[in-house]
Amino acid sequence: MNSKRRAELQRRLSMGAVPRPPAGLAERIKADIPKYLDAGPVPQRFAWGTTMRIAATLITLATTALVTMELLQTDRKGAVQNSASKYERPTPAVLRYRTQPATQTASMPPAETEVSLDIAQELPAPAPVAPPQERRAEAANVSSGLIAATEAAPMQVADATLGAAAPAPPPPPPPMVAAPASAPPPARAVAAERASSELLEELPIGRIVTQAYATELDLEQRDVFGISLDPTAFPTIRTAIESGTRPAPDSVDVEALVNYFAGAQSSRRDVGLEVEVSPAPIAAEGDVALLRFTVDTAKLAVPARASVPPVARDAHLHIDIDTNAVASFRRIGDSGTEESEEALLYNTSVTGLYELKLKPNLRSSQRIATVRLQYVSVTSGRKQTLTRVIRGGDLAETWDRASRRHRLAALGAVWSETLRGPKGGVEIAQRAEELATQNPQDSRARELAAAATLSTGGER
Amino acid sequence: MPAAWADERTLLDAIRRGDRAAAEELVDRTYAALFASVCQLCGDRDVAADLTQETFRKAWVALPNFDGRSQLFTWLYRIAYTTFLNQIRRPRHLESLDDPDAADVQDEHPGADDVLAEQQEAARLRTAVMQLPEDLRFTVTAHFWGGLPIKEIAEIEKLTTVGIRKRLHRAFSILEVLLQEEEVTE
Repeated sequence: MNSKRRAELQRRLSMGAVPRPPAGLAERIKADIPKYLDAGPVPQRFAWGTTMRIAATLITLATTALVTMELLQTDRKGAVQNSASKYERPTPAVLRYRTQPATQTASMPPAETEVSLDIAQELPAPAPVAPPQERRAEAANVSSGLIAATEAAPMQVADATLGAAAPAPPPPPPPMVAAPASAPPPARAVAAERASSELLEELPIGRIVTQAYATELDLEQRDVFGISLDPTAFPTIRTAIESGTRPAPDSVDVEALVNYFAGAQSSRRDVGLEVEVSPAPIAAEGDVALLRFTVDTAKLAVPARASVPPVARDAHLHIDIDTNAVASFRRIGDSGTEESEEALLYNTSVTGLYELKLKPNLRSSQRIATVRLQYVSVTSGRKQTLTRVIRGGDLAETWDRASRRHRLAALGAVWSETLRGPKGGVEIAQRAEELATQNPQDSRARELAAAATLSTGGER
Repeated sequence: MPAAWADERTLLDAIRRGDRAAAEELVDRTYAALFASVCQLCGDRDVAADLTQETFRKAWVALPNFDGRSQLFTWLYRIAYTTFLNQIRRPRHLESLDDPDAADVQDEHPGADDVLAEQQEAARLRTAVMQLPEDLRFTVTAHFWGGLPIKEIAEIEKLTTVGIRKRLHRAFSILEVLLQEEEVTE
């Protein structure tokens, strides 16, 4: 659902007339008040005696002091680590880009630029796709139970060709940049403000209250292409797990957790598109692969309290999955990816994942999926198209060969989904622990390892 | 309003002590909003009035069990919503009390068409909302028609606000399909 239709539906729900109660209703209700209201036992919440209150206060003070001391120590450690990591330079990006030769003359810039992905990697030589039996043998005999019986959509024509490639080396994680996902695009903000003022003019006083609640809904601010980027998702889940509570399935925001672990990176161009495919992190029936797409925008220093400006507008994301290579697939997360976004802001990173059940005996040249991102650059005013074609040869031979970002996002996804079911996820915890051990500076890997281990509830 | 009852908790304490005036104050503060919410749910003013009255009857009985963790209105809304669900699930054998020979009276008031269109629009939306799965239906109606903030709904549903927003997101997607289907059918 796009934002306009959502806003319209929200408006319709909020705009219902507020009926006034019939005369005499209050009197009817009051007549029903029992002569002797049953005071009943006063709930514990209001029944604490003075002694209990003093005891609770003392406990709270002591706990606060301990936590404060602990936090101060952690901050000092963190400051030392941060100062060290400032001088680390991220390795070159996983993907290289090749701009197709423009047919127009130099004096007349092309109205549309097509950028194709060359997925040839710096690391190991392209390897043929392992036969399904071999890949299955690599995995343990644990089923992820992830595949849903979704029929693959027909493949559409792709624009670019790619050489077969092996996966990228795991680069050290770049400094995490907090994505200002909660800042609404200015275009939307203006539209929302206009719609709000129009509503206020049209509505009688009685309806304004309901509309006020509608604006509190705040559905627009934390998703890009319909993918949740809620930064509070992981802290909320972690708090629940650390307190020994299994979060309610409905409170697990899988998409936001995927994005938390995928992290935010800045694009060297105004907008970048990463696409990667790997085997599933834990064993599954059949050939299960995870396809990741990530849109990163350029970095821009924005003063505090200032709005983040758009770097692109009229963005459209198309993901075509080839039924010749994929038996079934499903999006990981709750909401389907929306194709359109009115504006992409600077400092934005958004990641989505698909789970693919591959057909057997996949050839290296067999196309698996095409991901295409079209947008209009705000700086140049030109329409741009980024196209990534993923083929059998691009599938990482093993899980370990996928990029670190991909593995963190994929593990975050699978772990999030185990939180919605009965306890499990021992293998995920082990995988996350491996990632954390490989790079102890990667705080997100450590967080995932710790949370995944805790959520197994001591299973081994 | 007595100054001593400005705070909802003191009002509740007074009701618990058996203060009838405090109970009447609670009715005065909440019944109109509660009626409006129930009316949006059922679409019938008379039924809504009965359900509102029934809600308060149940509330007086349930009062000792109210732990004060949510707002009083939120608690009352939950009772009203359950009362409404019981009402629509109950098999009904109603007979009209209207005189069968009575002539239909046309409303010639200017703008009657507009009022009718608005009522039809509201009925369409209500029908679609009622087709939502129970958890989504409660969340949508509590937020939009009951006016409950997300945080309050999260509290009584024992979910995070993220969970409630996700519910609304899902509900919107389903509602869009339901409303489109209806438009096509028409």
